[in-house]
Amino acid sequence: MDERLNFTAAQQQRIDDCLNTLLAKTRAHGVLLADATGQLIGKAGIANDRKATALSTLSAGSFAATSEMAKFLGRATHFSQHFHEGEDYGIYSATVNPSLLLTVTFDAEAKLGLVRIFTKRAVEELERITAEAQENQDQGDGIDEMMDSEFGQLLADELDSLFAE
Amino acid sequence: MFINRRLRELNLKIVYYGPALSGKTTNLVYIYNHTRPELRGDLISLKTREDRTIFFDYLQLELGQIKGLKPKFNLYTVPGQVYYAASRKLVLQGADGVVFVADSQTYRMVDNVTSLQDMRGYLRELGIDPWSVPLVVQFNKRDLPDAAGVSTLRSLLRLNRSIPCLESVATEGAGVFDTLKTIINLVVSSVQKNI
Ligand SMILES: Nc1nc2c(ncn2[C@@H]2O[C@H](COP(=O)(O)OP(=O)(O)OP(=O)(O)O)[C@@H](O)[C@H]2O)c(=O)[nH]1
Ligand SMILES: [Mg+2]
Repeated sequence: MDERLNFTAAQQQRIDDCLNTLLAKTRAHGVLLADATGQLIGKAGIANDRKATALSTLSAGSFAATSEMAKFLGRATHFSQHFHEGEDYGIYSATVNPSLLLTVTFDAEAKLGLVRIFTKRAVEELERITAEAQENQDQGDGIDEMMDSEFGQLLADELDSLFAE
Repeated sequence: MFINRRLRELNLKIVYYGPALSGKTTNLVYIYNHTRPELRGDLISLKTREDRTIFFDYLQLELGQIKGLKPKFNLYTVPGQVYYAASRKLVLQGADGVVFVADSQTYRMVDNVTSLQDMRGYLRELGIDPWSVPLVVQFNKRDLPDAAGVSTLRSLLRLNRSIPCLESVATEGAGVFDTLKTIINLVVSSVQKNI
Protein backbone atom coordinates (compact mmCIF):
# COMPACT_ATOMS: atom_id res chain seq x y z
CA MET A 1 0.00 0.00 0.00
CA ASP A 2 1.08 3.64 0.35
CA GLU A 3 3.22 5.34 2.99
CA ARG A 4 0.55 5.51 5.63
CA LEU A 5 1.47 7.09 8.90
CA ASN A 6 1.70 4.69 11.72
CA PHE A 7 2.43 6.42 15.03
CA THR A 8 3.11 4.53 18.21
CA ALA A 9 0.96 5.39 21.23
CA ALA A 10 3.96 7.29 22.65
CA GLN A 11 4.43 9.29 19.45
CA GLN A 12 0.72 9.99 19.37
CA GLN A 13 1.00 11.31 22.91
CA ARG A 14 3.86 13.63 21.89
CA ILE A 15 1.74 14.92 19.02
CA ASP A 16 -1.14 15.66 21.37
CA ASP A 17 1.22 17.36 23.83
CA CYS A 18 2.69 19.47 21.04
CA LEU A 19 -0.77 20.59 19.92
CA ASN A 20 -1.74 21.42 23.51
CA THR A 21 1.39 23.52 23.95
CA LEU A 22 0.63 25.41 20.75
CA LEU A 23 -2.89 26.04 21.97
CA ALA A 24 -1.72 27.36 25.33
CA LYS A 25 1.06 29.57 23.97
CA THR A 26 -1.10 31.24 21.36
CA ARG A 27 -4.34 31.41 23.35
CA ALA A 28 -6.03 30.01 20.28
CA HIS A 29 -9.44 28.44 20.19
CA GLY A 30 -8.43 25.15 18.73
CA VAL A 31 -5.60 23.28 17.05
CA LEU A 32 -5.94 20.41 14.59
CA LEU A 33 -3.53 18.11 12.83
CA ALA A 34 -4.85 16.26 9.79
CA ASP A 35 -3.42 14.41 6.84
CA ALA A 36 -3.97 15.34 3.21
CA THR A 37 -7.14 13.28 3.06
CA GLY A 38 -8.67 15.14 6.00
CA GLN A 39 -8.08 12.34 8.44
CA LEU A 40 -7.82 13.87 11.90
CA ILE A 41 -4.57 12.87 13.60
CA GLY A 42 -4.66 15.01 16.70
CA LYS A 43 -6.47 17.94 18.24
CA ALA A 44 -6.39 20.35 21.15
CA GLY A 45 -8.97 22.78 22.49
CA ILE A 46 -11.86 21.44 20.48
CA ALA A 47 -13.67 19.14 22.84
CA ASN A 48 -16.33 18.13 20.35
CA ASP A 49 -14.99 15.20 18.34
CA ARG A 50 -17.42 15.67 15.48
CA LYS A 51 -16.68 19.32 15.10
CA ALA A 52 -12.96 18.60 15.02
CA THR A 53 -13.41 15.88 12.40
CA ALA A 54 -15.58 18.12 10.25
CA LEU A 55 -13.08 20.98 10.50
CA SER A 56 -10.14 18.79 9.57
CA THR A 57 -11.99 17.40 6.54
CA LEU A 58 -12.86 20.89 5.37
CA SER A 59 -9.40 22.34 5.96
CA ALA A 60 -7.83 19.47 4.01
CA GLY A 61 -10.32 20.10 1.22
CA SER A 62 -9.53 23.78 1.12
CA PHE A 63 -5.82 23.04 1.17
CA ALA A 64 -6.15 20.47 -1.62
CA ALA A 65 -8.13 22.92 -3.72
CA THR A 66 -5.51 25.66 -3.44
CA SER A 67 -2.71 23.17 -4.15
CA GLU A 68 -4.45 22.36 -7.42
CA MET A 69 -4.72 26.09 -8.11
CA ALA A 70 -0.96 26.40 -7.66
CA LYS A 71 -0.49 23.55 -10.13
CA PHE A 72 -2.70 25.23 -12.71
CA LEU A 73 -0.66 28.39 -12.29
CA GLY A 74 2.33 26.32 -13.28
CA ARG A 75 3.88 26.20 -9.82
CA ALA A 76 5.60 23.05 -8.72
CA THR A 77 5.03 23.62 -5.04
CA HIS A 78 1.87 24.07 -3.03
CA PHE A 79 1.26 26.94 -0.63
CA SER A 80 2.97 26.31 2.68
CA GLN A 81 0.72 28.61 4.72
CA HIS A 82 -2.90 29.66 4.62
CA PHE A 83 -4.56 32.45 6.45
CA HIS A 84 -8.25 33.25 6.45
CA GLU A 85 -9.21 36.43 8.18
CA GLY A 86 -12.70 37.10 9.49
CA GLU A 87 -13.94 40.16 11.31
CA ASP A 88 -12.90 38.99 14.76
CA TYR A 89 -11.53 35.53 14.14
CA GLY A 90 -9.06 33.79 11.92
CA ILE A 91 -7.83 30.42 10.70
CA TYR A 92 -4.15 29.84 10.13
CA SER A 93 -2.76 26.64 8.59
CA ALA A 94 0.71 25.42 7.81
CA THR A 95 1.95 22.26 6.15
CA VAL A 96 3.96 19.71 8.03
CA ASN A 97 6.20 17.50 6.03
CA PRO A 98 4.30 18.37 3.18
CA SER A 99 1.52 15.82 3.60
CA LEU A 100 0.11 16.95 6.95
CA LEU A 101 -1.76 20.12 7.75
CA LEU A 102 -1.65 21.95 11.07
CA THR A 103 -4.58 24.32 11.58
CA VAL A 104 -5.07 26.92 14.29
CA THR A 105 -8.41 28.63 14.84
CA PHE A 106 -8.41 31.76 16.95
CA ASP A 107 -10.31 34.92 17.80
CA ALA A 108 -9.40 38.44 18.89
CA GLU A 109 -7.69 37.13 22.00
CA ALA A 110 -4.83 35.66 20.00
CA LYS A 111 -2.23 37.57 18.01
CA LEU A 112 -1.47 36.45 14.48
CA GLY A 113 2.24 37.11 14.99
CA LEU A 114 2.37 34.74 17.94
CA VAL A 115 0.27 32.18 16.11
CA ARG A 116 2.79 32.20 13.26
CA ILE A 117 5.82 31.90 15.52
CA PHE A 118 4.49 29.10 17.68
CA THR A 119 3.00 27.26 14.72
CA LYS A 120 6.44 27.25 13.14
CA ARG A 121 7.91 25.69 16.27
CA ALA A 122 5.15 23.11 16.44
CA VAL A 123 5.73 22.24 12.79
CA GLU A 124 9.39 21.51 13.54
CA GLU A 125 8.49 19.22 16.42
CA LEU A 126 5.79 17.46 14.40
CA GLU A 127 8.22 16.93 11.54
CA ARG A 128 10.62 15.27 13.95
CA ILE A 129 7.89 12.95 15.18
CA THR A 130 6.69 12.04 11.68
CA ALA A 131 10.27 11.39 10.58
CA GLU A 132 10.67 8.98 13.50
CA ALA A 133 7.37 7.34 12.65
CA GLN A 134 8.68 6.39 9.22
CA GLU A 135 10.99 3.97 11.02
CA ASN A 136 8.20 2.28 12.93
CA GLN A 137 7.79 -1.38 12.24
CA ASP A 138 5.30 -3.72 13.79
CA GLN A 139 4.01 -1.96 16.85
CA GLY A 140 3.69 -4.92 19.13
CA ASP A 141 0.66 -3.42 20.85
CA GLY A 142 -1.59 -6.17 19.55
CA ILE A 143 -3.88 -3.83 17.64
CA ASP A 144 -2.97 -5.25 14.24
CA GLU A 145 -3.52 -8.81 15.42
CA MET A 146 -6.91 -7.80 16.77
CA MET A 147 -8.29 -7.36 13.29
CA ASP A 148 -8.76 -11.04 12.71
CA SER A 149 -11.71 -12.85 11.24
CA GLU A 150 -13.55 -12.74 14.55
CA PHE A 151 -13.23 -8.95 14.45
CA GLY A 152 -14.78 -8.93 10.98
CA GLN A 153 -17.67 -11.05 12.19
CA LEU A 154 -18.30 -8.91 15.28
CA LEU A 155 -18.15 -5.80 13.13
CA ALA A 156 -20.69 -7.21 10.71
CA ASP A 157 -23.06 -7.81 13.65
CA GLU A 158 -22.38 -4.36 15.05
CA LEU A 159 -23.22 -2.72 11.73
CA ASP A 160 -26.89 -3.51 12.15
CA SER A 161 -26.92 -1.40 15.29
CA LEU A 162 -26.07 1.68 13.19
CA PHE A 163 -29.45 1.77 11.58
CA ALA A 164 -32.29 3.36 13.45
CA GLU A 165 -35.57 1.46 13.37
CA MET B 1 -6.66 3.74 6.97
CA PHE B 2 -5.42 5.52 10.05
CA ILE B 3 -5.07 3.92 13.46
CA ASN B 4 -4.90 6.18 16.47
CA ARG B 5 -3.06 3.87 18.82
CA ARG B 6 -3.49 6.06 21.84
CA LEU B 7 -7.26 6.24 21.47
CA ARG B 8 -7.46 2.81 19.82
CA GLU B 9 -9.47 4.08 16.88
CA LEU B 10 -9.51 2.52 13.44
CA ASN B 11 -10.38 5.03 10.67
CA LEU B 12 -11.39 3.86 7.22
CA LYS B 13 -12.29 5.90 4.16
CA ILE B 14 -15.02 4.89 1.71
CA VAL B 15 -15.70 6.90 -1.44
CA TYR B 16 -18.96 6.92 -3.40
CA TYR B 17 -17.96 7.44 -7.01
CA GLY B 18 -20.00 7.58 -10.23
CA PRO B 19 -21.31 9.74 -13.07
CA ALA B 20 -23.29 12.96 -12.61
CA LEU B 21 -26.72 12.60 -11.01
CA SER B 22 -26.36 8.86 -10.43
CA GLY B 23 -27.47 9.19 -6.80
CA LYS B 24 -24.27 9.35 -4.74
CA THR B 25 -25.40 12.22 -2.54
CA THR B 26 -28.83 10.60 -2.17
CA ASN B 27 -27.12 7.52 -0.68
CA LEU B 28 -25.34 9.62 1.95
CA VAL B 29 -28.43 11.64 2.78
CA TYR B 30 -30.41 8.45 3.29
CA ILE B 31 -27.71 6.97 5.51
CA TYR B 32 -27.56 10.19 7.51
CA ASN B 33 -31.32 10.29 7.99
CA HIS B 34 -31.58 6.67 9.07
CA THR B 35 -28.62 6.10 11.37
CA ARG B 36 -28.80 6.50 15.10
CA PRO B 37 -27.82 10.11 15.84
CA GLU B 38 -25.28 9.15 18.50
CA LEU B 39 -23.35 7.11 15.94
CA ARG B 40 -23.04 9.69 13.18
CA GLY B 41 -21.46 13.10 12.69
CA ASP B 42 -22.83 16.01 10.68
CA LEU B 43 -23.44 15.62 6.98
CA ILE B 44 -21.18 18.13 5.28
CA SER B 45 -22.04 19.03 1.70
CA LEU B 46 -19.99 21.30 -0.50
CA LYS B 47 -22.56 21.94 -3.18
CA THR B 48 -23.99 24.48 -5.59
CA ARG B 49 -27.30 26.22 -5.03
CA GLU B 50 -28.88 23.57 -7.25
CA ASP B 51 -27.72 20.85 -4.85
CA ARG B 52 -25.07 19.56 -7.21
CA THR B 53 -21.95 18.40 -5.45
CA ILE B 54 -19.09 20.78 -6.18
CA PHE B 55 -16.35 19.16 -4.11
CA PHE B 56 -17.60 16.39 -1.82
CA ASP B 57 -20.16 15.26 0.73
CA TYR B 58 -18.82 13.85 3.96
CA LEU B 59 -20.34 11.78 6.73
CA GLN B 60 -18.62 9.97 9.57
CA LEU B 61 -20.12 6.87 11.17
CA GLU B 62 -18.73 5.25 14.28
CA LEU B 63 -19.38 1.91 15.87
CA GLY B 64 -19.07 0.90 19.48
CA GLN B 65 -15.87 -0.82 20.58
CA ILE B 66 -15.12 -4.14 18.99
CA LYS B 67 -12.43 -6.12 20.80
CA GLY B 68 -11.22 -2.88 22.36
CA LEU B 69 -10.98 -1.09 19.03
CA LYS B 70 -13.27 1.71 17.88
CA PRO B 71 -14.03 1.62 14.13
CA LYS B 72 -14.90 4.87 12.37
CA PHE B 73 -16.00 5.07 8.76
CA ASN B 74 -15.48 8.23 6.75
CA LEU B 75 -17.88 8.31 3.83
CA TYR B 76 -17.29 10.70 0.92
CA THR B 77 -19.01 11.33 -2.39
CA VAL B 78 -17.30 12.82 -5.44
CA PRO B 79 -18.89 15.42 -7.75
CA GLY B 80 -20.02 13.60 -10.87
CA GLN B 81 -20.18 16.51 -13.31
CA VAL B 82 -17.53 16.31 -16.03
CA TYR B 83 -15.78 19.57 -15.22
CA TYR B 84 -15.06 18.65 -11.61
CA ALA B 85 -12.44 16.05 -12.55
CA ALA B 86 -9.74 17.61 -10.35
CA SER B 87 -11.98 17.35 -7.28
CA ARG B 88 -12.83 13.72 -7.99
CA LYS B 89 -9.20 12.75 -7.97
CA LEU B 90 -8.56 14.63 -4.72
CA VAL B 91 -11.42 12.91 -2.95
CA LEU B 92 -10.19 9.46 -4.05
CA GLN B 93 -6.90 9.96 -2.20
CA GLY B 94 -6.45 7.48 0.58
CA ALA B 95 -9.65 5.57 -0.20
CA ASP B 96 -9.81 2.17 1.49
CA GLY B 97 -12.84 1.16 -0.57
CA VAL B 98 -15.08 2.46 -3.34
CA VAL B 99 -18.81 2.24 -4.01
CA PHE B 100 -19.42 2.86 -7.68
CA VAL B 101 -22.96 4.23 -8.05
CA ALA B 102 -24.13 3.57 -11.61
CA ASP B 103 -27.25 5.09 -13.14
CA SER B 104 -29.27 2.14 -14.44
CA GLN B 105 -30.99 4.09 -17.19
CA THR B 106 -29.99 2.88 -20.64
CA TYR B 107 -29.20 6.34 -21.95
CA ARG B 108 -26.61 6.80 -19.17
CA MET B 109 -24.55 3.74 -20.08
CA VAL B 110 -21.71 5.61 -21.79
CA ASP B 111 -21.46 7.91 -18.77
CA ASN B 112 -21.23 4.92 -16.44
CA VAL B 113 -18.51 3.25 -18.47
CA THR B 114 -16.49 6.45 -18.86
CA SER B 115 -16.78 7.25 -15.18
CA LEU B 116 -15.58 3.81 -14.11
CA GLN B 117 -12.63 3.98 -16.49
CA ASP B 118 -11.71 7.46 -15.29
CA MET B 119 -11.81 6.27 -11.70
CA ARG B 120 -9.37 3.46 -12.39
CA GLY B 121 -7.10 5.94 -14.15
CA TYR B 122 -7.13 8.32 -11.17
CA LEU B 123 -6.41 5.51 -8.74
CA ARG B 124 -3.41 4.50 -10.83
CA GLU B 125 -2.21 8.12 -10.88
CA LEU B 126 -2.50 8.14 -7.09
CA GLY B 127 -0.32 5.05 -6.90
CA ILE B 128 -3.16 2.72 -5.95
CA ASP B 129 -3.72 -0.48 -7.90
CA PRO B 130 -7.35 -0.13 -9.08
CA TRP B 131 -7.81 -3.89 -9.05
CA SER B 132 -6.76 -4.24 -5.44
CA VAL B 133 -9.12 -1.60 -4.03
CA PRO B 134 -12.28 -3.12 -2.55
CA LEU B 135 -15.09 -2.21 -4.95
CA VAL B 136 -18.87 -2.58 -4.74
CA VAL B 137 -21.09 -1.53 -7.64
CA GLN B 138 -24.55 -0.20 -6.99
CA PHE B 139 -27.05 -0.19 -9.86
CA ASN B 140 -29.25 2.71 -8.82
CA LYS B 141 -32.58 4.06 -10.05
CA ARG B 142 -34.09 0.59 -10.47
CA ASP B 143 -37.52 2.24 -10.22
CA LEU B 144 -37.21 3.99 -13.57
CA PRO B 145 -38.85 2.43 -16.65
CA ASP B 146 -35.71 2.80 -18.76
CA ALA B 147 -33.51 0.83 -16.33
CA ALA B 148 -31.32 -1.73 -18.12
CA GLY B 149 -31.22 -5.35 -16.94
CA VAL B 150 -28.67 -6.31 -14.33
CA SER B 151 -26.78 -8.73 -16.59
CA THR B 152 -26.61 -6.10 -19.34
CA LEU B 153 -25.19 -3.62 -16.85
CA ARG B 154 -22.67 -6.14 -15.58
CA SER B 155 -21.37 -6.94 -19.03
CA LEU B 156 -21.34 -3.36 -20.31
CA LEU B 157 -19.31 -2.30 -17.27
CA ARG B 158 -17.18 -5.45 -17.64
CA LEU B 159 -17.61 -6.41 -14.01
CA ASN B 160 -16.29 -9.83 -13.24
CA ARG B 161 -18.02 -12.19 -10.85
CA SER B 162 -15.87 -11.27 -7.88
CA ILE B 163 -17.24 -7.71 -7.77
CA PRO B 164 -20.42 -7.50 -5.68
CA CYS B 165 -23.26 -5.69 -7.48
CA LEU B 166 -26.38 -4.48 -5.70
CA GLU B 167 -29.61 -2.99 -6.99
CA SER B 168 -30.99 0.14 -5.38
CA VAL B 169 -33.56 2.87 -5.36
CA ALA B 170 -31.61 5.35 -3.30
CA THR B 171 -34.45 7.87 -3.05
CA GLU B 172 -36.45 5.23 -1.16
CA GLY B 173 -33.45 3.76 0.61
CA ALA B 174 -33.79 0.35 -1.04
CA GLY B 175 -30.36 -1.26 -1.23
CA VAL B 176 -28.59 1.67 0.44
CA PHE B 177 -27.65 -0.03 3.70
CA ASP B 178 -26.90 -3.33 1.98
CA THR B 179 -24.42 -1.53 -0.22
CA LEU B 180 -22.81 0.13 2.79
CA LYS B 181 -22.56 -3.14 4.70
CA THR B 182 -21.09 -4.92 1.71
CA ILE B 183 -18.34 -2.36 1.18
CA ILE B 184 -17.52 -2.16 4.89
CA ASN B 185 -17.16 -5.93 5.10
CA LEU B 186 -14.98 -5.96 2.02
CA VAL B 187 -12.79 -3.15 3.33
CA VAL B 188 -12.33 -4.80 6.70
CA SER B 189 -11.37 -8.14 5.21
CA SER B 190 -8.92 -6.43 2.87
CA VAL B 191 -7.37 -4.62 5.86
CA GLN B 192 -6.98 -8.01 7.54
CA LYS B 193 -5.25 -9.42 4.48
CA ASN B 194 -2.82 -6.51 4.31
CA ILE B 195 -1.68 -6.76 7.90
N1 LIG C 1 -36.06 7.85 -9.66
C1 LIG C 1 -34.95 7.88 -8.94
N2 LIG C 1 -34.29 9.05 -8.76
C2 LIG C 1 -33.16 9.02 -8.02
C3 LIG C 1 -32.67 7.84 -7.41
N3 LIG C 1 -31.54 8.14 -6.73
C4 LIG C 1 -31.34 9.47 -6.90
N4 LIG C 1 -32.32 10.01 -7.66
C5 LIG C 1 -32.47 11.42 -8.07
O1 LIG C 1 -31.42 11.77 -8.96
C6 LIG C 1 -31.03 13.13 -8.77
C7 LIG C 1 -29.55 13.25 -8.52
O2 LIG C 1 -29.22 12.64 -7.28
P1 LIG C 1 -27.90 13.02 -6.47
O3 LIG C 1 -27.81 12.09 -5.32
O4 LIG C 1 -27.86 14.48 -6.19
O5 LIG C 1 -26.81 12.67 -7.58
P2 LIG C 1 -25.22 12.77 -7.45
O6 LIG C 1 -24.69 11.47 -7.94
O7 LIG C 1 -24.81 13.17 -6.09
O8 LIG C 1 -24.92 13.93 -8.50
P3 LIG C 1 -23.59 14.90 -8.58
O9 LIG C 1 -23.38 15.45 -7.23
O10 LIG C 1 -23.87 15.95 -9.58
O11 LIG C 1 -22.49 14.01 -9.03
C8 LIG C 1 -31.89 13.66 -7.62
O12 LIG C 1 -32.97 14.36 -8.14
C9 LIG C 1 -32.34 12.40 -6.92
O13 LIG C 1 -33.57 12.56 -6.25
C10 LIG C 1 -33.39 6.62 -7.62
O14 LIG C 1 -33.03 5.53 -7.15
N5 LIG C 1 -34.51 6.70 -8.40
MG1 LIG D 1 -23.74 14.71 -5.37
